[in-house]
Amino acid sequence: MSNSCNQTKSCPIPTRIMQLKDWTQLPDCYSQTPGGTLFSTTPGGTRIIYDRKFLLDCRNSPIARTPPCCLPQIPGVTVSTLNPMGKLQELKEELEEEAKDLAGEARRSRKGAGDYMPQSRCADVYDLHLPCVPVGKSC
Amino acid sequence: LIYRFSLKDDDTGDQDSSAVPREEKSDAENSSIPNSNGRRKTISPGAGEHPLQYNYTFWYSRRTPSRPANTQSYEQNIRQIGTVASVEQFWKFYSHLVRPGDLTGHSDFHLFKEGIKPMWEDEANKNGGKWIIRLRKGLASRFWENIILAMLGEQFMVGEEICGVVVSIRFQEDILSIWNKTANDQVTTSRIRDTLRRVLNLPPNTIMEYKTHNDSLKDNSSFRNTKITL
Repeated sequence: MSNSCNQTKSCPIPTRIMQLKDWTQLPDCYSQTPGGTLFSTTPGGTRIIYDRKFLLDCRNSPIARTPPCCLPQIPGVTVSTLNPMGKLQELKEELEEEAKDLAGEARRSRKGAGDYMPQSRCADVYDLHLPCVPVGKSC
Repeated sequence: LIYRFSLKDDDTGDQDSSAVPREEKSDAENSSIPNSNGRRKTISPGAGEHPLQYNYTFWYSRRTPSRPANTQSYEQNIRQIGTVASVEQFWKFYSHLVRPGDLTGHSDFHLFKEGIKPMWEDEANKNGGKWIIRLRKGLASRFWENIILAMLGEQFMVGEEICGVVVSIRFQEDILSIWNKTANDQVTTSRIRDTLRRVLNLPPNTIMEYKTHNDSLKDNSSFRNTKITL
């Protein structure tokens, strides 16, 4: 029982208020459990949940790259061997498609549900003075 | 019969019987659809692989638009590509499929839970319906990938309700669909719709349409006469 207690000074959590004019400005990670879903509970019990980033990271594992053993041969649909140059071309095209498509959108793409990357040390407080959602529309 | 690779393959797993199955499944419980050889196989994650909450089967279908569709011809025109039980097995198949944007003609890819046929008449689908999102040309590949990753990763959080997803390549637009078991369960359908908006980064004014499979059966059409939601 020490009687020399050090009182730590309390200080408020540094916050940053972001004024949003539109729902599209909400970041993808808003209210999401890191590595999980945007739901806070798991109705129906524990489930095996993977976020998009994790699934994409598994793509490069050696297991994933070997061809499946009984892939049917359907020309124009199934590909029996992966062409490494073809893959690069595919990735390049995908990036170009995205850049074109998202010109003008404030949202970061390619960060689906669950991609959580804290950008700053302070808590972001979203000032939700957003346009009213008309009756009949869901948000 | 055990499938063996002629090359040395340390990653024995997906179809090899030396992989320890996660659960013992009796044949009666095993709902896997016979593959083209007529044999039933229990697909399970291999050692070191990341299991999925459910097994999923890839299907492909194609038809000549001029030919009218009926149940029989639809069933004949659709074929299984493979079933996956783990993340790694999924990538194996997915990496060896052409991207939907590169499919020709009137074609569809389907990814459905094992045991559920991507047909209105399947037991799991008869009281169900689907959300559909129409995409202009050029978007199908990316949206298909994002919707399947969300489904496989259990992002929808609607219990057992999800049946599968479809990407339909058509003449002037492409269509993404997600099928669920109970069409009149509004809590479920709303949740699916909201999750779709997030995982696909849909702009807020995107039109989403819902159609029950009963309605599809009645007008023999997948994508006409839907209920429109903003």
